[in-house]
Amino acid sequence: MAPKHEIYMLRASMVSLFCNAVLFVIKSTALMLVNSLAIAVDLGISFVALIVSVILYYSVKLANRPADLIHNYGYGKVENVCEALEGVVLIGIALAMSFQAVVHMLHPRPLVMPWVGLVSCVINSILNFGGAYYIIRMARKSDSPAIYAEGIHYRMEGFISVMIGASFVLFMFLQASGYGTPARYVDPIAALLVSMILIIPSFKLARNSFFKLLDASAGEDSQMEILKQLGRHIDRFCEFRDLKTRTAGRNKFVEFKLVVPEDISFRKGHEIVSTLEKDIKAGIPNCEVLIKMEPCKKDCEYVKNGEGCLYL
Amino acid sequence: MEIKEHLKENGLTLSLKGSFDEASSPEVERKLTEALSQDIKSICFDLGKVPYISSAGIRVLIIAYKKAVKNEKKVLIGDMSAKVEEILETVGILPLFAIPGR
Repeated sequence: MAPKHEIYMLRASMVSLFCNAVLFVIKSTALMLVNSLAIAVDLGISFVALIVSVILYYSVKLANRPADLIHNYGYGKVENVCEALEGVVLIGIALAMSFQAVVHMLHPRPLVMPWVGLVSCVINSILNFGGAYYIIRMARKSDSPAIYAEGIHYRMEGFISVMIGASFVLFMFLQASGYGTPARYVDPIAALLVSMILIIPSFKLARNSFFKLLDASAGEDSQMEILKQLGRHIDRFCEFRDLKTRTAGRNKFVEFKLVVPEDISFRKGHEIVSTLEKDIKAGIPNCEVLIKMEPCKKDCEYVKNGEGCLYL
Repeated sequence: MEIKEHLKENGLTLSLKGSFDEASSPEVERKLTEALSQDIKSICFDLGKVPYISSAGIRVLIIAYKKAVKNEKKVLIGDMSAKVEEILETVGILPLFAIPGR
Protein backbone atom coordinates (compact mmCIF):
# COMPACT_ATOMS: atom_id res chain seq x y z
CA MET A 1 0.00 0.00 0.00
CA ALA A 2 1.25 3.52 -0.86
CA PRO A 3 2.43 5.76 2.02
CA LYS A 4 -0.18 8.15 3.46
CA HIS A 5 1.43 11.31 2.09
CA GLU A 6 1.37 9.82 -1.42
CA ILE A 7 -2.33 9.00 -1.07
CA TYR A 8 -3.08 12.59 0.04
CA MET A 9 -1.07 14.01 -2.86
CA LEU A 10 -2.77 11.76 -5.42
CA ARG A 11 -6.22 12.58 -4.03
CA ALA A 12 -5.47 16.32 -4.25
CA SER A 13 -4.12 16.06 -7.80
CA MET A 14 -7.16 14.05 -8.92
CA VAL A 15 -9.57 16.58 -7.38
CA SER A 16 -7.59 19.34 -9.07
CA LEU A 17 -7.72 17.57 -12.43
CA PHE A 18 -11.46 16.90 -12.19
CA CYS A 19 -12.38 20.45 -11.07
CA ASN A 20 -10.15 22.02 -13.74
CA ALA A 21 -11.79 19.91 -16.46
CA VAL A 22 -15.27 20.99 -15.27
CA LEU A 23 -14.16 24.64 -14.98
CA PHE A 24 -12.70 24.53 -18.49
CA VAL A 25 -16.00 23.29 -19.96
CA ILE A 26 -18.09 25.87 -18.04
CA LYS A 27 -15.81 28.78 -18.98
CA SER A 28 -15.56 27.74 -22.66
CA THR A 29 -19.38 27.60 -22.89
CA ALA A 30 -19.71 30.96 -21.10
CA LEU A 31 -17.13 32.57 -23.41
CA MET A 32 -18.98 31.43 -26.54
CA LEU A 33 -22.28 32.85 -25.22
CA VAL A 34 -21.13 36.04 -23.46
CA ASN A 35 -18.17 37.20 -25.60
CA SER A 36 -16.35 38.56 -22.54
CA LEU A 37 -12.61 39.31 -22.46
CA ALA A 38 -12.53 38.80 -18.68
CA ILE A 39 -13.91 35.28 -19.15
CA ALA A 40 -11.31 34.74 -21.89
CA VAL A 41 -8.55 35.60 -19.36
CA ASP A 42 -10.16 33.27 -16.84
CA LEU A 43 -10.40 30.53 -19.48
CA GLY A 44 -6.72 31.00 -20.30
CA ILE A 45 -5.90 30.51 -16.62
CA SER A 46 -8.06 27.38 -16.53
CA PHE A 47 -6.44 26.03 -19.67
CA VAL A 48 -3.00 26.37 -18.04
CA ALA A 49 -4.38 24.96 -14.81
CA LEU A 50 -5.76 21.94 -16.65
CA ILE A 51 -2.40 21.21 -18.30
CA VAL A 52 -0.61 21.78 -14.97
CA SER A 53 -3.07 19.42 -13.24
CA VAL A 54 -2.19 16.66 -15.70
CA ILE A 55 1.54 17.35 -15.18
CA LEU A 56 0.96 17.54 -11.42
CA TYR A 57 -0.72 14.13 -11.39
CA TYR A 58 2.26 12.51 -13.10
CA SER A 59 4.72 14.63 -11.06
CA VAL A 60 3.21 13.35 -7.82
CA LYS A 61 3.69 9.78 -9.02
CA LEU A 62 7.26 10.57 -10.09
CA ALA A 63 8.12 12.54 -6.93
CA ASN A 64 7.15 9.56 -4.79
CA ARG A 65 9.34 7.17 -6.73
CA PRO A 66 12.22 5.96 -4.55
CA ALA A 67 15.80 7.00 -5.30
CA ASP A 68 17.53 4.83 -7.89
CA LEU A 69 20.87 4.52 -9.67
CA ILE A 70 20.12 7.41 -12.04
CA HIS A 71 18.64 9.78 -9.44
CA ASN A 72 20.43 8.97 -6.19
CA TYR A 73 18.54 11.64 -4.22
CA GLY A 74 15.09 10.70 -5.52
CA TYR A 75 12.71 12.66 -7.73
CA GLY A 76 11.46 15.27 -5.23
CA LYS A 77 12.60 18.24 -7.33
CA VAL A 78 9.97 17.50 -9.98
CA GLU A 79 7.51 19.20 -7.60
CA ASN A 80 9.53 22.43 -7.78
CA VAL A 81 9.74 22.15 -11.59
CA CYS A 82 5.94 21.88 -11.63
CA GLU A 83 5.61 25.00 -9.43
CA ALA A 84 8.01 26.98 -11.64
CA LEU A 85 6.19 25.93 -14.79
CA GLU A 86 2.84 27.06 -13.39
CA GLY A 87 4.29 30.44 -12.37
CA VAL A 88 5.95 31.16 -15.71
CA VAL A 89 2.93 30.21 -17.82
CA LEU A 90 0.57 32.29 -15.65
CA ILE A 91 2.85 35.34 -16.01
CA GLY A 92 2.71 34.86 -19.80
CA ILE A 93 -1.10 34.71 -19.78
CA ALA A 94 -1.36 37.78 -17.56
CA LEU A 95 0.90 39.82 -19.85
CA ALA A 96 -0.90 38.71 -23.04
CA MET A 97 -4.30 39.42 -21.54
CA SER A 98 -3.25 42.85 -20.24
CA PHE A 99 -2.33 43.75 -23.79
CA GLN A 100 -5.70 42.46 -25.06
CA ALA A 101 -7.52 44.43 -22.36
CA VAL A 102 -5.85 47.67 -23.43
CA VAL A 103 -6.77 46.97 -27.08
CA HIS A 104 -10.40 46.30 -26.04
CA MET A 105 -10.51 49.52 -24.03
CA LEU A 106 -9.69 51.42 -27.21
CA HIS A 107 -12.45 49.55 -29.10
CA PRO A 108 -15.02 48.48 -26.44
CA ARG A 109 -17.72 45.92 -27.33
CA PRO A 110 -20.99 45.20 -25.51
CA LEU A 111 -21.46 41.93 -23.65
CA VAL A 112 -24.07 39.42 -24.78
CA MET A 113 -26.17 37.60 -22.16
CA PRO A 114 -24.16 38.86 -19.14
CA TRP A 115 -26.37 36.87 -16.76
CA VAL A 116 -24.91 33.66 -18.25
CA GLY A 117 -21.47 35.00 -17.33
CA LEU A 118 -22.68 35.78 -13.81
CA VAL A 119 -24.12 32.27 -13.29
CA SER A 120 -20.89 30.77 -14.66
CA CYS A 121 -18.84 32.90 -12.23
CA VAL A 122 -20.94 31.77 -9.25
CA ILE A 123 -20.44 28.08 -10.16
CA ASN A 124 -16.73 28.68 -10.80
CA SER A 125 -16.26 30.41 -7.43
CA ILE A 126 -17.92 27.53 -5.57
CA LEU A 127 -15.75 24.98 -7.40
CA ASN A 128 -12.58 27.02 -6.85
CA PHE A 129 -13.04 27.78 -3.15
CA GLY A 130 -14.24 24.23 -2.42
CA GLY A 131 -11.32 22.77 -4.39
CA ALA A 132 -8.83 25.14 -2.72
CA TYR A 133 -10.03 24.13 0.76
CA TYR A 134 -9.60 20.42 0.02
CA ILE A 135 -6.29 20.73 -1.87
CA ILE A 136 -4.65 22.96 0.79
CA ARG A 137 -5.79 20.50 3.48
CA MET A 138 -4.18 17.63 1.57
CA ALA A 139 -1.05 19.75 0.96
CA ARG A 140 -0.66 20.37 4.70
CA LYS A 141 -1.09 16.68 5.44
CA SER A 142 1.44 15.62 2.80
CA ASP A 143 3.82 18.61 3.22
CA SER A 144 3.98 18.93 -0.58
CA PRO A 145 4.94 22.35 -2.05
CA ALA A 146 3.52 21.52 -5.50
CA ILE A 147 0.13 20.56 -4.07
CA TYR A 148 0.16 23.66 -1.85
CA ALA A 149 0.93 25.85 -4.89
CA GLU A 150 -2.02 24.23 -6.66
CA GLY A 151 -4.27 25.02 -3.68
CA ILE A 152 -3.19 28.66 -3.66
CA HIS A 153 -3.79 28.80 -7.41
CA TYR A 154 -7.33 27.48 -6.87
CA ARG A 155 -8.06 30.07 -4.19
CA MET A 156 -6.72 32.85 -6.41
CA GLU A 157 -8.94 31.65 -9.27
CA GLY A 158 -11.88 31.75 -6.86
CA PHE A 159 -11.25 35.45 -6.14
CA ILE A 160 -10.85 36.12 -9.86
CA SER A 161 -14.25 34.51 -10.56
CA VAL A 162 -15.85 36.63 -7.82
CA MET A 163 -14.31 39.74 -9.36
CA ILE A 164 -15.48 38.89 -12.88
CA GLY A 165 -18.94 38.09 -11.50
CA ALA A 166 -19.01 41.53 -9.85
CA SER A 167 -18.07 43.13 -13.18
CA PHE A 168 -21.13 41.45 -14.81
CA VAL A 169 -23.37 42.80 -12.02
CA LEU A 170 -21.93 46.28 -12.58
CA PHE A 171 -22.39 45.94 -16.37
CA MET A 172 -26.05 44.92 -16.00
CA PHE A 173 -26.65 47.72 -13.47
CA LEU A 174 -25.12 50.38 -15.73
CA GLN A 175 -27.04 49.15 -18.77
CA ALA A 176 -30.31 49.07 -16.85
CA SER A 177 -29.60 52.63 -15.63
CA GLY A 178 -29.12 53.88 -19.20
CA TYR A 179 -25.30 54.10 -19.10
CA GLY A 180 -24.72 51.75 -22.05
CA THR A 181 -21.50 53.41 -23.26
CA PRO A 182 -19.54 53.38 -19.94
CA ALA A 183 -20.86 49.83 -19.35
CA ARG A 184 -18.82 48.67 -22.37
CA TYR A 185 -15.58 49.54 -20.52
CA VAL A 186 -16.40 47.36 -17.50
CA ASP A 187 -15.32 44.09 -19.15
CA PRO A 188 -11.86 45.18 -20.43
CA ILE A 189 -11.18 46.98 -17.12
CA ALA A 190 -12.10 43.77 -15.22
CA ALA A 191 -9.82 41.75 -17.55
CA LEU A 192 -6.95 44.20 -16.94
CA LEU A 193 -7.45 44.08 -13.15
CA VAL A 194 -7.57 40.27 -13.16
CA SER A 195 -4.35 40.14 -15.22
CA MET A 196 -2.62 42.54 -12.86
CA ILE A 197 -3.79 40.59 -9.80
CA LEU A 198 -2.50 37.42 -11.44
CA ILE A 199 1.02 38.74 -12.08
CA ILE A 200 2.13 39.28 -8.45
CA PRO A 201 1.42 35.79 -7.00
CA SER A 202 2.56 34.13 -10.24
CA PHE A 203 5.86 36.01 -10.10
CA LYS A 204 6.31 35.03 -6.42
CA LEU A 205 5.50 31.40 -7.24
CA ALA A 206 8.01 31.28 -10.11
CA ARG A 207 10.72 33.07 -8.10
CA ASN A 208 10.33 30.84 -5.03
CA SER A 209 10.37 27.65 -7.07
CA PHE A 210 13.45 28.77 -9.01
CA PHE A 211 15.26 29.42 -5.72
CA LYS A 212 14.23 25.99 -4.48
CA LEU A 213 15.62 24.48 -7.69
CA LEU A 214 18.92 26.16 -6.83
CA ASP A 215 19.16 23.95 -3.72
CA ALA A 216 17.66 26.45 -1.27
CA SER A 217 18.23 25.71 2.41
CA ALA A 218 15.51 24.12 4.48
CA GLY A 219 13.08 26.55 6.11
CA GLU A 220 13.61 28.30 9.44
CA ASP A 221 11.51 25.73 11.32
CA SER A 222 13.76 22.91 10.13
CA GLN A 223 16.94 24.88 10.95
CA MET A 224 15.62 25.56 14.46
CA GLU A 225 14.83 21.87 14.92
CA ILE A 226 18.40 20.87 13.96
CA LEU A 227 19.86 23.37 16.45
CA LYS A 228 17.39 22.22 19.09
CA GLN A 229 18.65 18.65 18.74
CA LEU A 230 22.30 19.77 18.74
CA GLY A 231 21.53 21.70 21.94
CA ARG A 232 19.87 18.64 23.48
CA HIS A 233 22.97 16.50 22.88
CA ILE A 234 25.51 19.28 23.44
CA ASP A 235 27.46 17.38 26.11
CA ARG A 236 28.11 14.43 23.79
CA PHE A 237 30.31 16.06 21.12
CA CYS A 238 33.17 18.59 20.92
CA GLU A 239 31.77 20.77 18.15
CA PHE A 240 29.85 20.74 14.87
CA ARG A 241 30.94 22.17 11.52
CA ASP A 242 29.74 22.83 7.97
CA LEU A 243 26.03 22.53 8.68
CA LYS A 244 24.27 22.42 5.30
CA THR A 245 20.65 21.84 4.36
CA ARG A 246 18.80 21.67 1.07
CA THR A 247 15.30 20.96 -0.16
CA ALA A 248 13.95 18.95 -3.09
CA GLY A 249 10.17 19.20 -3.23
CA ARG A 250 8.90 18.20 0.18
CA ASN A 251 12.14 16.35 0.98
CA LYS A 252 14.83 17.94 3.11
CA PHE A 253 18.48 16.95 3.30
CA VAL A 254 20.68 17.80 6.29
CA GLU A 255 24.40 17.22 6.59
CA PHE A 256 27.14 18.34 8.95
CA LYS A 257 30.40 17.25 10.54
CA LEU A 258 30.39 16.25 14.18
CA VAL A 259 33.70 16.46 16.02
CA VAL A 260 33.95 13.84 18.78
CA PRO A 261 36.84 13.04 21.17
CA GLU A 262 39.66 11.22 19.42
CA ASP A 263 39.76 8.50 22.08
CA ILE A 264 36.07 7.68 21.90
CA SER A 265 35.24 4.13 20.76
CA PHE A 266 33.82 3.67 17.28
CA ARG A 267 30.71 2.11 18.81
CA LYS A 268 30.15 5.10 21.12
CA GLY A 269 30.72 7.60 18.27
CA HIS A 270 28.31 5.74 16.04
CA GLU A 271 25.74 5.71 18.82
CA ILE A 272 25.97 9.53 19.22
CA VAL A 273 25.65 10.09 15.46
CA SER A 274 22.75 7.64 15.15
CA THR A 275 20.86 9.22 18.07
CA LEU A 276 21.28 12.69 16.59
CA GLU A 277 20.18 11.50 13.14
CA LYS A 278 17.14 9.76 14.59
CA ASP A 279 16.10 12.81 16.68
CA ILE A 280 16.52 15.26 13.79
CA LYS A 281 14.51 12.98 11.49
CA ALA A 282 11.78 12.71 14.11
CA GLY A 283 11.48 16.50 14.31
CA ILE A 284 11.56 17.25 10.57
CA PRO A 285 9.17 15.37 8.28
CA ASN A 286 10.56 13.85 5.06
CA CYS A 287 14.14 14.46 6.11
CA GLU A 288 17.37 12.64 5.38
CA VAL A 289 20.32 13.29 7.69
CA LEU A 290 23.98 12.62 7.00
CA ILE A 291 26.44 13.25 9.84
CA LYS A 292 30.15 12.78 9.23
CA MET A 293 32.07 11.92 12.37
CA GLU A 294 35.50 13.56 12.82
CA PRO A 295 38.06 13.07 15.60
CA CYS A 296 39.10 16.10 17.68
CA LYS A 297 42.64 17.46 17.40
CA LYS A 298 43.17 17.34 21.16
CA ASP A 299 43.73 21.10 21.11
CA CYS A 300 41.37 22.08 23.91
CA GLU A 301 42.58 23.58 27.20
CA TYR A 302 41.48 20.52 29.19
CA VAL A 303 43.73 18.15 27.27
CA LYS A 304 46.59 20.69 27.21
CA ASN A 305 46.39 21.05 31.00
CA GLY A 306 46.23 17.28 31.45
CA GLU A 307 42.74 17.46 32.93
CA GLY A 308 41.30 14.85 30.59
CA CYS A 309 38.53 15.08 28.03
CA LEU A 310 35.21 16.61 29.08
CA TYR A 311 33.18 14.34 26.86
CA LEU A 312 34.60 10.95 27.78
CA MET B 1 23.44 45.34 12.96
CA GLU B 2 25.46 47.48 15.33
CA ILE B 3 28.06 45.60 17.40
CA LYS B 4 29.83 47.29 20.30
CA GLU B 5 32.73 45.69 22.16
CA HIS B 6 33.44 46.54 25.76
CA LEU B 7 36.36 45.05 27.69
CA LYS B 8 36.10 45.01 31.48
CA GLU B 9 37.79 42.91 34.18
CA ASN B 10 38.97 40.05 31.97
CA GLY B 11 35.60 39.86 30.29
CA LEU B 12 34.46 41.06 26.88
CA THR B 13 30.89 42.23 26.31
CA LEU B 14 29.45 42.17 22.80
CA SER B 15 26.45 44.50 22.74
CA LEU B 16 24.27 43.82 19.71
CA LYS B 17 21.62 46.14 18.30
CA GLY B 18 19.27 44.93 15.55
CA SER B 19 18.13 41.56 14.28
CA PHE B 20 20.56 38.69 14.87
CA ASP B 21 20.01 36.80 11.61
CA GLU B 22 21.63 35.51 8.40
CA ALA B 23 22.83 38.99 7.50
CA SER B 24 24.46 39.86 10.82
CA SER B 25 25.62 36.48 12.14
CA PRO B 26 28.88 36.25 10.06
CA GLU B 27 30.07 39.55 11.57
CA VAL B 28 29.19 38.43 15.12
CA GLU B 29 30.97 35.11 14.50
CA ARG B 30 34.06 36.97 13.30
CA LYS B 31 34.07 39.18 16.43
CA LEU B 32 33.59 36.07 18.54
CA THR B 33 36.60 34.32 16.99
CA GLU B 34 38.69 37.46 17.61
CA ALA B 35 37.46 37.64 21.21
CA LEU B 36 38.29 34.01 21.91
CA SER B 37 41.89 34.55 20.86
CA GLN B 38 42.26 37.31 23.49
CA ASP B 39 43.36 36.71 27.04
CA ILE B 40 39.93 36.99 28.64
CA LYS B 41 37.94 34.77 30.96
CA SER B 42 34.41 35.39 29.72
CA ILE B 43 32.34 36.63 26.80
CA CYS B 44 29.03 38.28 27.51
CA PHE B 45 26.35 38.75 24.85
CA ASP B 46 24.12 41.75 25.48
CA LEU B 47 20.96 40.95 23.51
CA GLY B 48 18.70 43.54 25.14
CA LYS B 49 18.40 45.51 21.90
CA VAL B 50 17.99 42.47 19.66
CA PRO B 51 14.33 42.26 18.60
CA TYR B 52 14.69 38.88 16.86
CA ILE B 53 17.15 36.01 16.68
CA SER B 54 16.99 33.56 13.78
CA SER B 55 18.49 30.07 13.49
CA ALA B 56 21.68 31.69 12.12
CA GLY B 57 22.04 33.69 15.35
CA ILE B 58 21.33 30.65 17.51
CA ARG B 59 23.98 28.73 15.57
CA VAL B 60 26.53 31.43 16.50
CA LEU B 61 25.52 31.21 20.18
CA ILE B 62 25.98 27.41 20.19
CA ILE B 63 29.35 27.79 18.46
CA ALA B 64 30.30 30.43 21.06
CA TYR B 65 29.37 28.05 23.86
CA LYS B 66 31.34 25.16 22.36
CA LYS B 67 34.43 27.28 21.62
CA ALA B 68 34.32 28.84 25.06
CA VAL B 69 34.14 25.43 26.75
CA LYS B 70 37.08 24.28 24.63
CA ASN B 71 39.13 27.31 25.75
CA GLU B 72 37.97 27.17 29.38
CA LYS B 73 36.09 30.43 29.07
CA LYS B 74 32.54 31.31 30.07
CA VAL B 75 29.70 32.59 27.89
CA LEU B 76 27.10 34.79 29.51
CA ILE B 77 23.97 36.47 28.29
CA GLY B 78 23.87 39.86 30.01
CA ASP B 79 20.48 41.03 28.89
CA MET B 80 17.95 39.90 26.31
CA SER B 81 14.66 41.06 24.88
CA ALA B 82 11.49 39.11 25.70
CA LYS B 83 11.28 37.76 22.13
CA VAL B 84 14.88 36.51 22.16
CA GLU B 85 14.34 34.86 25.55
CA GLU B 86 11.21 33.15 24.23
CA ILE B 87 13.06 31.82 21.15
CA LEU B 88 16.09 30.60 23.14
CA GLU B 89 13.78 28.91 25.60
CA THR B 90 11.80 27.23 22.80
CA VAL B 91 14.98 25.91 21.20
CA GLY B 92 16.13 24.78 24.64
CA ILE B 93 19.60 26.34 24.68
CA LEU B 94 18.99 28.99 27.37
CA PRO B 95 20.34 26.74 30.19
CA LEU B 96 23.73 26.60 28.43
CA PHE B 97 24.42 30.23 29.28
CA ALA B 98 25.02 31.89 32.60
CA ILE B 99 22.69 34.84 33.09
CA PRO B 100 23.93 37.30 35.73
CA GLY B 101 21.33 38.16 38.37
CA ARG B 102 19.31 34.97 37.89
